[in-house]
Amino acid sequence: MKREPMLAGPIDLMVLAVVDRRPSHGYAILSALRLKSGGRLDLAEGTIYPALYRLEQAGYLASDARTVSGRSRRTYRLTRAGRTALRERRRAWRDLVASMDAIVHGAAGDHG
Amino acid sequence: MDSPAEAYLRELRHALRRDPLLARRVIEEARDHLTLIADEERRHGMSQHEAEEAAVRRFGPAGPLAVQFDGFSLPLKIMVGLSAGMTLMVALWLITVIVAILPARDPARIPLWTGLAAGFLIYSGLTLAYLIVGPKQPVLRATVLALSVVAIALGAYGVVRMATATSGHFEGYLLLMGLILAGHGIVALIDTAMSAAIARRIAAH
Repeated sequence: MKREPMLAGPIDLMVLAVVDRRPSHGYAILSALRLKSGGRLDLAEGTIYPALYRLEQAGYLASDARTVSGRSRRTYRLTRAGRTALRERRRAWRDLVASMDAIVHGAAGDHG
Repeated sequence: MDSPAEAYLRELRHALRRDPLLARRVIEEARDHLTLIADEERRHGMSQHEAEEAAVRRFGPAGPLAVQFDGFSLPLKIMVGLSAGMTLMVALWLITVIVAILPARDPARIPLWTGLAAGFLIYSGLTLAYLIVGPKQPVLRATVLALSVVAIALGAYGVVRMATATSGHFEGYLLLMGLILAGHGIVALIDTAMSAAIARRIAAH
């Protein structure tokens, strides 16, 4: 079962936005997503890793592994290409939200 | 008996068995993540066993997770690396012939063979560079992709030419060079095309 395509874009955008604030590992990124969404974002936590790999393959993230408490921990940071992609996606997301808002609330107003 | 976390990691490793290098990296990250969730759950009063069960639930089922890593294929990368290595060996062999044999036996062929050697050397070098940094360098990926199409065409031409040559003009090493070049071209084309498709899909989101 593949992840819903509709969700892939927002997840990638959210991950880029979190990593932009500070380099983070998978668990910390998930915790930040949960905290920022007020607990409303309820993802299977493993889902974050294919997204991280995808973004690293695309050159938007770079990663380093180091040993913490005897375990390997990989920290991700935004690359220059990632910063550019984040800027573009933020703009696209704002446009999408504004369009949706206009359609959904506009439609309610038209028929209400 | 395995703990719930270890049993889950074993299941995940099995689901990713086609690509051991990727599996190793994913398992390391998953182990760290599961441990951190379990620590969090224990702070909320769970036993170690309950905390690990909760961690596995929160992480999500292994099979569907493994499917999401499609497109990061190590076997294909190994094939690209091996074929680039063979092309590099052909280039080195050509250079040896140019330097050690042709000046005395057939100096007229030196320019043609030098061009061939340079082509093989550049193509193998670019393919190896793509394997190391390629997915992050779209221009390099596009260059290798384009060169792979040329390599397939030239390799196929060489093979067909030798296969249909009269026995007097048949040269086995040219047939072998054509096969190596075409084979390299095919696997590199598949890999770069897949990588480009993944990058397009990401950019589309």
